[in-house]
Amino acid sequence: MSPRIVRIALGVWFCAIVFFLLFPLVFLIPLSFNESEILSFPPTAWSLRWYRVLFTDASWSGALWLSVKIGVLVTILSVAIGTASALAIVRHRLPGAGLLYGLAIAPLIVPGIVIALGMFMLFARLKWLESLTTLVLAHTVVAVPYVIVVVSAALRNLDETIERAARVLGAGPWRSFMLVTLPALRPAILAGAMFAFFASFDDLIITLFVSGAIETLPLRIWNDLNLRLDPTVAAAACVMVAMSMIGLGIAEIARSAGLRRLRTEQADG
Amino acid sequence: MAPLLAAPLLLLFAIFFVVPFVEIMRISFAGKGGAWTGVTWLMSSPVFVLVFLNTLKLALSVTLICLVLGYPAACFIAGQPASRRGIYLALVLLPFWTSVLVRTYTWSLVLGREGLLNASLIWLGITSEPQRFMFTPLAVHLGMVQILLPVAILTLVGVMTELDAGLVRAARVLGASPWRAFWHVYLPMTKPGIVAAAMLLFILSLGFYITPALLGGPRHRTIANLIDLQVNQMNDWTAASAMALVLLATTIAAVALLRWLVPERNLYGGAR
Repeated sequence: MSPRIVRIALGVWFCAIVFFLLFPLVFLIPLSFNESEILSFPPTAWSLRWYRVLFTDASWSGALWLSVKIGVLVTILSVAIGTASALAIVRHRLPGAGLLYGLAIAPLIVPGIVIALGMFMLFARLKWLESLTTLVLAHTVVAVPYVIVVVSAALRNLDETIERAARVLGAGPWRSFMLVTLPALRPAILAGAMFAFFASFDDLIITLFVSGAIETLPLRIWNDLNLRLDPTVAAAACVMVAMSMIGLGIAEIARSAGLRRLRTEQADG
Repeated sequence: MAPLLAAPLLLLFAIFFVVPFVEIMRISFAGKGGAWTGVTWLMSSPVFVLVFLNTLKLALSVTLICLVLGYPAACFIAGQPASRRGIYLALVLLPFWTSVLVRTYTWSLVLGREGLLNASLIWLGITSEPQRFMFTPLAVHLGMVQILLPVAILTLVGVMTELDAGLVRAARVLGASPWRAFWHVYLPMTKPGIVAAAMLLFILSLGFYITPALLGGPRHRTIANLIDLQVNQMNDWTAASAMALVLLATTIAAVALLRWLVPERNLYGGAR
């Protein structure tokens, strides 16, 4: 086995894996433009019929906009809470910072169903179920870890002497944060915001347990899947995929822009 | 200043994360009468033990499949020049960041009676009758592997790009065949990555709910599905809480094992 053959074999293997990973997503696109009531492949006639249903039918468009609205609220909360606690953990050397970080990222590891069940039973007793506020805060618990992971990683990579220089030159803590730290963190915060949005936008399990009659897009899809196969689901799924692609693109651009800036700063220094 | 910055997080997590756990413990140990607490009662239930073992078995086989499929793919990415690595990683990240529900739903369209797979098999003349792929272990495995494979690849690439390629070259120069150099030098060097990926995949597989529910059907339930069933159909909160406690304990045990086996820097690299 010459190294050349090994390289080619690895390349072929990688292509097969990428095909396996992407094919279910690509497969959805033609189905969503199918005219027919039956999800058959290949489509016999093309139309935007199911997209029209998605954006005009009250139960579908309502669920879509509700998901976007909840996602935006969760993102704002997660960015504020996550950035503040990342600062407390990394910069201010809070006693027990390691423990706090562990707690903050625990929702990434603890199975969603366990979190959902606990919330359901507690909030049933408190009569907090079926409330938009509860749902937004519940989503924030699973969204905020992403912001904390990304922002605290960026903070650790950030040279603290720049901040100290600002302080020495007479800037107060708030001014030095706004003028020095925050601009440097912007890419990480933007990436964290994207991840937080999709943690909320995609969530099914927590919504399933605490939302009651509030129907988000994943819940609308879920309820539909258990009844019949409506092609609108394919259109809704395509919209969700398209949104994640755009979000991932933004996060990726922000991240690489941040890396570039970090690199030029290091090169300059 | 610092306590003030962390206060909103602590408040949110206290009410929406910690107290719900206390509630699970409270209800589960309120028990089924007498000295029997929820968990011990559960362990004597044959149905639960069966589902528990099935969940472990499923998590284990999905983990192994992901490692075997992902390792060569990760080798390929790690072997690329750093400038091009980003593009290949993006191809793996793309499906990673799309909804699990959407990906599972698509598998149900591919594997269904009138689905793409059956249509292709009939068109190719391999079968004349549609085969049953939905609600089989095969369907659950396909769905879960597609969801978790990017985690495996990202974690492995993280470790592979950090190691010293010079050592493999040294082994080659000293006369080792490519296979020997891989088996005795490269593979052992990537062991922390393999262990980290394996544990991470196992932990994440344990809690799967959507994929087994949609692709596996009633005969291939996981603990997560059983918890949902207890709450939403049987209305038995004690059983659900006890199950959640067992699932949580298994997860914590796996995390503890992971922390013990792998240095922390190799951990959260690619984890979603």
